Amino acid sequence: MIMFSLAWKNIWRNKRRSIIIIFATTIGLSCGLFSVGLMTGMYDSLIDYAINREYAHIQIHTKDFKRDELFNQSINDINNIIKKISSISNIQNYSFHTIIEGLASSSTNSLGVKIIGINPLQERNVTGISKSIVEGNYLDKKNTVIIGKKLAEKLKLKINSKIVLSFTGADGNIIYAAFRISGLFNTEATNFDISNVFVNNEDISNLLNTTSPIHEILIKINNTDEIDKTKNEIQKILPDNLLVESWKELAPDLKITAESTDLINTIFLGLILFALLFGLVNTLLMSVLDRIKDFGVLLAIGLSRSRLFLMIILESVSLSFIGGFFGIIIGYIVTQYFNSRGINLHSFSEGLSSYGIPSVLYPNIRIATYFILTIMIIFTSIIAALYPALKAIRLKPVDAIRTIA
Amino acid sequence: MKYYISFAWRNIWRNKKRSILATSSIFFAVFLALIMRSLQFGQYDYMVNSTVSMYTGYLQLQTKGFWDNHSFDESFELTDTLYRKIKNNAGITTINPRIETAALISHATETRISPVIGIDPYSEDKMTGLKKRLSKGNYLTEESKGILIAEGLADRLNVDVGDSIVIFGQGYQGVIAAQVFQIEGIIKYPIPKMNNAFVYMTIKNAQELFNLSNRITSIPIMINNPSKLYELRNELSSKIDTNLVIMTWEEMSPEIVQAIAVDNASGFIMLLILYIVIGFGVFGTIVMMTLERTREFGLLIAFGMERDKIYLVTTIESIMISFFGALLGLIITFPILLYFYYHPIPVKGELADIYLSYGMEPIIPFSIDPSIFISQMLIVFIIGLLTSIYPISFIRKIKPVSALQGRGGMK
Repeated sequence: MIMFSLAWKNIWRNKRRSIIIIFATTIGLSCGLFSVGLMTGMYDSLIDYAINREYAHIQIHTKDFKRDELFNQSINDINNIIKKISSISNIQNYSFHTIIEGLASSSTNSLGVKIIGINPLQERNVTGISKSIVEGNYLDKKNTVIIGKKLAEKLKLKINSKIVLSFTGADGNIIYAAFRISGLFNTEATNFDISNVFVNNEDISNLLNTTSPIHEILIKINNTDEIDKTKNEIQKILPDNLLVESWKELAPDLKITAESTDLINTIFLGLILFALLFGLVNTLLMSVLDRIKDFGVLLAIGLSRSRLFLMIILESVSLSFIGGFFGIIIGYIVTQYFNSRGINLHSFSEGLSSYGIPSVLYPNIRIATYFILTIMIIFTSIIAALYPALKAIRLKPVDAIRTIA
Repeated sequence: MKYYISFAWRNIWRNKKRSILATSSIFFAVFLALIMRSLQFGQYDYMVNSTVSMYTGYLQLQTKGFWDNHSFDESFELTDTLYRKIKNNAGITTINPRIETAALISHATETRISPVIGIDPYSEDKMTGLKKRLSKGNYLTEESKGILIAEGLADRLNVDVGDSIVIFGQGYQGVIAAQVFQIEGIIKYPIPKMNNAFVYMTIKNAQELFNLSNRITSIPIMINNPSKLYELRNELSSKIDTNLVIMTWEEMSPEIVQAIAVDNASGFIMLLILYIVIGFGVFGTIVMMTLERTREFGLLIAFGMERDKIYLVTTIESIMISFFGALLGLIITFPILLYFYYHPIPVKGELADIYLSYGMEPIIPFSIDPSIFISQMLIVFIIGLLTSIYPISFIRKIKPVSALQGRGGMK
């Protein structure tokens, strides 16, 4: 304890010097933490939005459908499948999709789209499409369709306009059907918005004169930490021709993003600390060189070398800790402030939405990051102190006392 | 001047360790910054190049309005004069006239909609490397009567090389276009979206099919130096008719421009933080160097040395300390970057598949754009100048008597 109070007093012998390094630590770490918060917030939302928009947590297809997306490769015996998997408690909700490749036409233009037949009520509990309606209503009446706002712009269509969807039925006939646009959705991903339209499954059944085939089952689960376990449980009870995949397999680029965010952030903080290391070593070295005479006296009156070593380490640790403390506090406050307000990046929205990143960012720092950072600070400060401390304990008391400072 | 420089030089080496530490911190920052920027810039150039050479080209000549409507009403005649006007510009590597439209493709009971592109087989291959993507059959020649079809589309129509398909669409001035074509080759694209669509035929066949006589819809243009993009566009624009327009890739793919801007900004912020931290370290060194020489400054002033000259010496010191690190960083990093510029790092495993799915070769390219180096030098120079403010303001206020008496020089 006495070593600690000695160390503390030593820090303040040269206030200017100590304050400069403390200030550098504070600025470096608070800015660093805020950028980490931005990155984490950005990539977490990228993944959350993608799961909520199109992937859900787990999807089931037939193996053949995965390859070709062909109309006739539907999942048979849906009710039986549902009965089987309903015993798995982690499953929260599910929804069925009919997926048909087709053409959306207005009087001015035609574009290829994926026509997704849904059960509007069921879908509400699984994906966020019902919540991303920006104009008009969710599928409310017979023969209505919701399309992306950006698709509507391309086709020069508005709400309540008529749109013709055409696709090939099971027997190869081309089916043309007029739908009324009941609502426009706008998600954070441009590609999704221009290539998907949603209709009621019943309308498709009417057009096909038979129950519409189900190509895809989307499953939302309660505990996302157990996603792989749940996925395997489902796969085990389903027949072999069905393929169960989690969002990580459906979107491998998102998986890599999820796995690398924390690593990149840690590396970034590590680099900042490494940069601080130089300044810290310099400060400690100067302060040791200034006090050679003192050290000589201390050693002469019987202070053990190990305690002297400890004292210099403690000086370094306290110096970095003051800076680290303020840095973390300021980083936390700034991040929390913007977390509650959001950072508006509308001027970059086109580029962001081509990646599926929303244009309002909510920076967020994981609790673990603070712990890792604290450990990294302690580690850095000990490394910084090693050389100056070694220099101090190698002194010969007699020579040291005679040194002219 | 020589005196002052050697003065400054000696002052720096009074405390070797301290100066070396400050210098190496700058070295570290410059090293890191150079590698990071080189990676980022390399990635941008690569991304732009792969995207534009896949389809749009760096520049594209069209009739005004074609980009929005994509209709044959905005087609134009490619005359020899027009061709020569484009050709006679240094820096243009490929001129690739095209007919772009969409039509229904049928075989037996299956029908799909797909882009149908009329191409000049030679220039299309030169620009997009189409021939390399051929997975079956033969590539088109000038005389070919057949078509190339993307693999995914062929699968869905259940057709193979040698089979016939019907193309049904709308031609120039509303004429109905329908004709049977034989499949000569299958094209495999790494991007699923492209692999599921695309039919190619020669321009001549497309002109016949869509009743275009000798009209075309667009001319993608490749250039050898992307930094001269706007220069070339302006030059071309001034030569062509007013109903035609030259679009740049930035106008055709604004999302790439913004994605680059976002990434560039985040890289810039990271470096800014790093430089701030390093800058403080250097500042600390300069402050120490100044304070411990209080007595010396007092003496110099008392002897009659003009303060301006002391400012000069201390400023040279600050800049030297920063600049050595930067120079060292440059000398050590440049060969590394140069090596990786010629030998890009290959990407393996899952990440490689992602690269391929975006249609890019799985490599990490580096850039050796001079601006990367210049900007780091500039930043370091600014750090040197900023840190020199402290000694100047200190010396400006110093009182020689107090300094000589060891009372800190201020009272």
